[in-house]
Amino acid sequence: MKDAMETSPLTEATFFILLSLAPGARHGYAIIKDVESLSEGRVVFSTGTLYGAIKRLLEAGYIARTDTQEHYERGRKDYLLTDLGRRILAEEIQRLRTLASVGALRLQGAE
Amino acid sequence: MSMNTVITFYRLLLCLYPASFRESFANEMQDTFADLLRERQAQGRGSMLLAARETAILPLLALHEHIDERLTSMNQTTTTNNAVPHVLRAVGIITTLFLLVCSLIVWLQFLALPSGADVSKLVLMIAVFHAVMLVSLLIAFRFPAYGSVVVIASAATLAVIQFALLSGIAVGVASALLVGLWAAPYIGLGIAIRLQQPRHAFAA
Repeated sequence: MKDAMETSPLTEATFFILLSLAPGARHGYAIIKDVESLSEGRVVFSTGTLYGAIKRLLEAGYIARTDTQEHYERGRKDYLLTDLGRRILAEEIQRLRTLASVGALRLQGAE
Repeated sequence: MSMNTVITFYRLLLCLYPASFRESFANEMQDTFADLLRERQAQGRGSMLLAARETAILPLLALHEHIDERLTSMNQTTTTNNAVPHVLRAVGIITTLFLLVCSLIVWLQFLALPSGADVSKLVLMIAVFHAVMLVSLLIAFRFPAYGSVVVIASAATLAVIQFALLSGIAVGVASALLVGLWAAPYIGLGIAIRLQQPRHAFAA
């Protein structure tokens, strides 16, 4: 049976973090900057919010932690999307796509 | 204030997080915070504003992590002995009663307070008392054996102070109601933390 987190719509924070990691692994600072850019400055994570969300995503198995040589000296960790995380992100994008098309149809009908 | 001082202060605030969270993320959080601060400073835009925002929200997020950790461990226990989730219940009560306190303040403002009374001082007092209790809850989660005593004693003391201050500006029943609604959830949470501990915890 799927757990609650897996079947519920993703929160905006979770969605943006997963989306940011879709092209490849990133560390925390890069995620904050990428999400700020993706959301056109609307979503700006504080470090506390970001790492709280990262902890929960690690526990859920949506992302994984990795050491890269590039950041090894600073003890920095990169995060990457797992297969489960990629599937969840794809499902969420499909859900939003469906919602958007229903919304567009309704708006057309109202005109 | 120099950047190093701000980073040191941030590092100190990270001590409020649960140990397991600190071990996993504290160094990275500090590095990321320092990078963000440097970037803002290089661009000459609001590095102190960023520092204020980050440090103001950190204690609340730390409390959230403590509650999250406690709930996770309780859920694991619940599957084996069906224990009552005291902390979960207490958090629900706090949220509900906080809304009631807000309603009561509105009521006091429009109906019960004498004309000209400064309600902003009342709101400020309650906010400060909530902040004190948040710190006391953080202490409780860091040192669970003595946490319940700290929470209950702080709540009771602040309730007495609050009643003494309020009775000067509001009617007696309203003061008692406000103080009761304010203190009850914290005392409930203190009792819940105590019930979570083994009987011999205070003897240790």
